[in-house]
Amino acid sequence: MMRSFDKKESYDRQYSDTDLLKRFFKYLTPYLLLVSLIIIGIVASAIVTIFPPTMVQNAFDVLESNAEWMAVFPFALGYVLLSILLWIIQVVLGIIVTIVTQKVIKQIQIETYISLQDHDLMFFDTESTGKIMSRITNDSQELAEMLNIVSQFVSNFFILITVLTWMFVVNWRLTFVTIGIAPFVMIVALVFRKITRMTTGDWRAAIGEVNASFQESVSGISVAKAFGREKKSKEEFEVINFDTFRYAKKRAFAVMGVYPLMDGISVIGMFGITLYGSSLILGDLASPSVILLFLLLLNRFLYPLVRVASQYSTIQSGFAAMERVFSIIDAKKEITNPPDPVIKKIEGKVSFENVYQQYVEGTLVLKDINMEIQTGESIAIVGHTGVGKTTIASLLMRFYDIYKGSIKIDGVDVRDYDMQCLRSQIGLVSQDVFLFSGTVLENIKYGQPNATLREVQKVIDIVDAKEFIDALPDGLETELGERGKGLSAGQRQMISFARTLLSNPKILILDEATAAVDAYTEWKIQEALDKLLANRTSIVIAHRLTTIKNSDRIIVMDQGRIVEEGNHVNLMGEEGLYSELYETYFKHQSAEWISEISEVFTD
Amino acid sequence: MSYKKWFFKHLLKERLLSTILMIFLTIYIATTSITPFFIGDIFGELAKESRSFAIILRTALFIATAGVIRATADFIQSYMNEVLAHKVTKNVTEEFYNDLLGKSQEFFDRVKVGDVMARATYDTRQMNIFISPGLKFLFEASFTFIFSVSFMIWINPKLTLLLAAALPFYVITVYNYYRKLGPVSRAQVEQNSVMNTRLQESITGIRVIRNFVKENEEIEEFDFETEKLREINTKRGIISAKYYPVSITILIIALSFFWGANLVTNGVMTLDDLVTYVFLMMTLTMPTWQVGRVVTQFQIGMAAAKRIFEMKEREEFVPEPSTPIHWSGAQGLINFEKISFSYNGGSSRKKALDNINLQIPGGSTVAIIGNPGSGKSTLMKLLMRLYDPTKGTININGINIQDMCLSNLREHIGVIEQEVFLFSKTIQDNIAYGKADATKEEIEGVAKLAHAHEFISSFENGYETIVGERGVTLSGGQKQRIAIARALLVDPSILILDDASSAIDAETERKIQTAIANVLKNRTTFIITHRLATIKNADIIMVMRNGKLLDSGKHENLILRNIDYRNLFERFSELPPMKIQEGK
Repeated sequence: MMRSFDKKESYDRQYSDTDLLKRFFKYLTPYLLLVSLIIIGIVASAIVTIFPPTMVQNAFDVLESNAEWMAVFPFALGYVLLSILLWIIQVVLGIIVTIVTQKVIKQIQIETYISLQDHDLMFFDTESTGKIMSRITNDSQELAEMLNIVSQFVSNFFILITVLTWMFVVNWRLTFVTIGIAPFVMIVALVFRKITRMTTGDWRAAIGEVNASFQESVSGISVAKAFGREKKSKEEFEVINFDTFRYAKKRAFAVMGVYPLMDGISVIGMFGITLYGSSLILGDLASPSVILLFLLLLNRFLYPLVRVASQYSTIQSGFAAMERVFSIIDAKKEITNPPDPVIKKIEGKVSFENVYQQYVEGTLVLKDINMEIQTGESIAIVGHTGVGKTTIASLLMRFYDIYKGSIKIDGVDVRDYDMQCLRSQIGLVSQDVFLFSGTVLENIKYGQPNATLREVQKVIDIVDAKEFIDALPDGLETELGERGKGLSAGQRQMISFARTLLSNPKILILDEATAAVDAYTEWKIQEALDKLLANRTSIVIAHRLTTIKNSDRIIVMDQGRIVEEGNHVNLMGEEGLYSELYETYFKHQSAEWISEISEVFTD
Repeated sequence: MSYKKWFFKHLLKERLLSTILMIFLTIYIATTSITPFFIGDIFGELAKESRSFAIILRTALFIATAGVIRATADFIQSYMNEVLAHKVTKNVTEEFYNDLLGKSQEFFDRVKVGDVMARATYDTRQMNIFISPGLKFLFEASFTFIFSVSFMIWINPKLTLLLAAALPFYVITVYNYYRKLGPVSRAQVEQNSVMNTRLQESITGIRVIRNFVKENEEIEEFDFETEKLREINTKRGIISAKYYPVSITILIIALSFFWGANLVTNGVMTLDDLVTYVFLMMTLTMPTWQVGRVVTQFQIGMAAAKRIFEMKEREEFVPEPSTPIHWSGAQGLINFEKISFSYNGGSSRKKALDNINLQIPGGSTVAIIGNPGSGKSTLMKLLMRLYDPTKGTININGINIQDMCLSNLREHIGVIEQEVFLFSKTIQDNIAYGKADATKEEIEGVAKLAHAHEFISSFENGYETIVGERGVTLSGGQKQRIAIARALLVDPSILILDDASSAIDAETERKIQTAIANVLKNRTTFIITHRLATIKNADIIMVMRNGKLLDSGKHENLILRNIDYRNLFERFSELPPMKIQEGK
C-alpha cells in the first residue's frame, strides 16, 4: 500500500503492511471474543439486510393477486420481525465496537506515553512538542478508529456482495442496470474525494495561520498593548480570518456537492430500473414485484459502494497513523537502566576520567575531562558560553551518555547506577526553569510531595523567596499559569531553587541557577547556602563573582577542555584564561568599571 | 445576555443566506416527497391489465426530472448552509479575538494560552459543525416530516395514526438520548482538555520530571486521566448505540406495511397507495437518524459556544473614560499619589503596593531597585494602566491617567520587558511593530542607536531575517537590543525598561549600556535594573521593599543614608565596606 507522509521526522520509519497489521492485531488479542462477535454481527446484519425488502416483494405479489390476509400475513409479520432483529444486531454491534475501540485507544496512548518517559532527552531536544502531542492524541485515535472503519468497510463489503448476489438470483437482466451505474458512483466518489482533499488542505493551512496568529497575539499581548497595536492586530487578524472563510467556501463546494450528485445518480438508477423493468414486464421477463424489490435494494447497493470507495483511503491514512504511532514507541533509546543496577546511598565523591562527549557526530563538546570532586567539596566551573559547562551537569545526571571515558560517583560508574536512584540523589537547578501549572506550594513540593509546611518554609527562607511569595495574591496557594506565567524569571528561579533544595540532594548542581535573580538576593541565597552545603558536594556554574569566590576550587574550561584549576587568588596570579575571563565577565561588576562606564552617560 | 442568545444573534444576522437556504430547502424536500407518488403511479399502471408503456415512460421521466431538481436544490441549500456555518464561525472568532485584545493584563496573567487556543480553535469548530451539518439536518428533518406526513394523511389518515402513536415514543427516545448524552459530552470535552494539558506539560517539562525521578507518578497520572477519558467515551458510545433512533422508524415502516397490507386485503386501500405510502415512510429514515446526530452536535456546539462566551464575558477590562482627555505626549511631572494596589481586584490579602508617593520631573531617569516581589513591576504596570490602582491616582502633567484615552496613554509609553517577546516575523517587522509605516532608514537608524545594526547585518538576510520558532534564534542580549530599537522607533515620552541582568560579557554589557544611554535622552525613563552603572547615574533612585517605597533620591545621598541601598551596592560591587556617616 502506498503511503505518503506530510513530513517525516528523524525517528519515523517504514513498516511493512503485514508488520503493521500484526502489531495492530496484538492490541486486539485481549478482546478476541468480542472481535469474533463483531465479525459474526457484521456477517449476520449483511445477510439480514436483504430479507425485509424480499418480504415486501413477496407480499406485493400476493396482494396483487387479490389474495386473503392470511396469505399476506406471514410476509408482513416477517418484515416486522426481521426489522427488529436487524435493530438488535446493530445496537449490540455498536456497543461492542465502542468498547473495544476505546480500550485499544487507551492502551496505545498509555504505551506511547510510557515510551516517551523512557526516551532520551536528545529526542525532546530535537522534536517539537506539538508534533509529539499530535501523535499521542490524534494519531492514536485515528489508529483505533481503524477498528471502527475496518469493521464498517467489511460490513459494507458484505452487504454489497449479498445484495448483488440476491439481485442476480431474482432477476439477472435487471441487475445489469444496477451494475451499470456503479462505475459512475465510483468515479464521482473518487473525484470528489480528491477535490475535497485538495481544498481541505488549503483550508487547513489557512486555519493554521489563524491559530498561529491567535497564539502569538495571546502570548505577545503585553507587547501589543504596550505599543497600542490592538487596532492594527485586529485588522491583520481580520484579513487572515477572512482568508480562511474563502477557502472554507471553496471546500464547501466539493464537500457539499458529492451527496446531491450521488443522489442524482441514484435517481438515474431508479429511472433505469422502472423503465427497463417495465419493458421486461411487458415482455413477461419479470413481475412488477421485482421492480419493487430492486427499487428497495438500490440504496442498499449504492451507499455501501460509496462507503467502500471512500473508506479505502481512510484505511490508508489509518495505516499511516499506525506507522507514526509505532515509530514513536519504537524510537531508539540509548539510555536505559543497566541489567544489574546499583542502588545505594551516595556519599558524594565525583570523578571524571578521560571524559569525551559529542552530541553531533564529529563535534566534541568535551575533550579529555579529568577531575576529582571530594565529598562535601564545592567547586565552580567557569568559561565562555558554549564550552561545555552545562554538558558536565547533564552527564552527571545521565541525561545523556558519554561518548568516551567514565564518570564515577563514589567509585561506581553512573551508567551502572539505577537511573532513578542516581537522579533522585542529585539536585539540578538550571537556568531554564520549568514550572508546572498548579500552586506555588505544589511546585515546590514537586520532588517531595510529602514534605511538611515547615520544611517548605525552611527552603523558602534559604532562597529568600518569602517576601515575594507572600506578595502573591494567595501566597503559597497562588495558582501559577502554564510554565509559571505571572512570575518574573528571577522569581521562577527562586521557586525552582527551593524545589531542588527540598528534595535534599546529596550532590547539588547549580547551573546559572541565580542568573536572573538580582545580585543582592543572590548574595543572600549564597550566604544561606554556605551553611547548607557544608556536607554536600556542589558544582556551581556561574557568571557572578560572589558565587564563584566562595567555592573551594575553581575549574576553568576552554573549548571542551579543563585549562586551569585553583582558587581565585592563584588563578589571577597565573594571568591565564581565568584572569582574562575575569576581565570580560566579572570586572564589570566591580566599582572601577562602573565609574568607567559612567562616562557613557555623562556624554 | 446568555450564551444561547449570543449564539443565535450571530446566526440570525445572516438573513440573505438564510432566506435563499430556506427557499431551496423547501424545493428539495417537496421534490423528495413527491417522488413516491410517481413510483406508486408506476405500480398502479403495472398492476393494470392493459399496461401502457407510454404512461410508464412519462412517469419515469417525472421521477428523473424531480430527481434532477431535487439534487440541484439539495446542493444549493447544503452549500448555503456550509457557507452560513463558516461565516458565523468567522464572525465569532473575530469577535472573540477582538474581545481578548481588550482584556486587562490580569486576565492574561491567569489564563492559559492552551485554554484560549482550545476555545479559539476547537470550540469554534464545534459551533461550525453544529450549524453545518447539524442545523442542516434539523431543517431537513422537520421539513421532510411536515411534507411527508401531510402526504401520508392525504393518502390514508387511518394508517397515519400509527405514526402518530409512534411519535411520542420517538420524542421520548430522542429526549432521553439528549438528556443522557449531555453531561457525558460535556465531561468528554473537559477531560480531553485535561489530558492534553497534562501531556503538553509532561513533554515540555521532561527534564524536571527526569530530574526529580517522577516518571512513574507521571505515568500513573496519565493513566488515570486516559482511563477517565476512556470511560467517558465508552459511555458515550453505548448511549449513542442504544438510542439509535432509526430503529423506531424502521419498526414503524414495518408495522405500517403490516397494517397497510391488511387494509389492502380488506379493499380499504389500493396497492399503489400502499407502495407510495411505504416509500414516503422511507423518506423519514434518513432524517430520523440525523436528528440523533443533531442532538449530539447541538450539545457539543452549545457547550463550545458557552465556553467561548464565558471567556469573552469575563469582566476584566480596564475601563475607558467616557470623555477621554488627550495627552500630546509632552513631558511633564509624573505624580504618584498615595498609590496602593492589591491583585485580584483588591481582594488579595496582601498589598502589592502600599501608599507610594513620589513626584518625578519630566525627563528624569529613574532607577527602581528592590527584591523580587517588592512591587517594582507592579508600579510600572499601573503607570501603563495594565491595572488600575486600588487607591490613589497617577497624574501626568496634572491629568489623571484614568481620564486619558487608553491607547493615547500607551502610545506615549514605551516598554522594554525583561523577557523580550518577539513575533515570528522578520527583524524589520519586529522593530517596526509599533510604527508600521516606518521607512527603512528610520529602522536602521534606531537599530544603530540600539547597537543592534551590527549583528543584524551579520545575518545572511539582514533585516529580513525571520526570528523565533520558524527562524533564527537570538540570544537574550540580541533580543533586548531589538526591543530597545523597537521602543526607540515609536519615540515614546515615557520609557519603561525592565532590565534584569543575566550573564553577559563585558562587551555586550557595554553595548547595552550605550544603547540604554541613547534611550534616556529627552524622555522620562523608568529602569528596573541591577546594573550598578545605570543605577549610579540615575536622577532618582527608588528603593522598594514589600510594596513600600523605602527611600528615593540620588546615589550620593542614598549611599549615605539608606542601609538597604548601601548593603546592596556594597555586596554587588565588591566595594570595601563603607563607613556610614552618623546621622541620616
